[in-house]
Amino acid sequence: MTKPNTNINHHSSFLTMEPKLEEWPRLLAFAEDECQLDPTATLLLEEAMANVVRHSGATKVTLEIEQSENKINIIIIDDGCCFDPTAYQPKESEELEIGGQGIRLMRAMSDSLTYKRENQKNILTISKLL
Amino acid sequence: MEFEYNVERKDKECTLSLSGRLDTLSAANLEPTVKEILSEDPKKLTVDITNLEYISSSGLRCFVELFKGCKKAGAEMTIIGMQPAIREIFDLTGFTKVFGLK
Repeated sequence: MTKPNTNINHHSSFLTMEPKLEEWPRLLAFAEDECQLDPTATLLLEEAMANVVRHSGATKVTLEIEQSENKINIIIIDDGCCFDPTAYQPKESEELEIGGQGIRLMRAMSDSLTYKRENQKNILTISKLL
Repeated sequence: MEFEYNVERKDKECTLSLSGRLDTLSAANLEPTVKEILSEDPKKLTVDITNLEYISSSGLRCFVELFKGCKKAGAEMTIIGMQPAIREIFDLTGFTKVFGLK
């Protein structure tokens, strides 16, 4: 599902999906089509979606990938309970921790991560410079 | 490249080979095999990831489970063939240090 932006240097694509494993092939196909400029963006998108599946209890998620010449924004909007991944603090430990690794990766691999709660929805924007 | 895995067993030694993309979906598919390997009480486990191209945090969970299971059982776990893209993920999450990788 692609909706070209009016500005020729910008391009936005959208996908609406249910946050469940059965939808993963659609998610990855969307990510691979839209994130060709930066494979890291595929991982960022997957980690954000995995958090929605694990933590928010959402029934619907809308993804937007917005690309310009030098930047990619991944915007994830879900209708689940309030969950702010930017506030979550993964444990600093010498032991192996199962939880929190996705957020650690998102922070390390993105250039900015912003969250807001609006109209009972979580809105996470991940930006990556190209 | 689609995710594929193979398990070879010889006495109490086991080699798990992973290739392709270990993402959220393929990690869920691998999970029963991880449990099965650990239930067989191997003395040595080698995880060959020479052909692993991509790993997400869900894939890392499989490694954590194997590592913890082996540690609990006193078994030795070794990871071989790590490619730079996978190494970067291990480095960023601190797993390189915890797994004792060089």
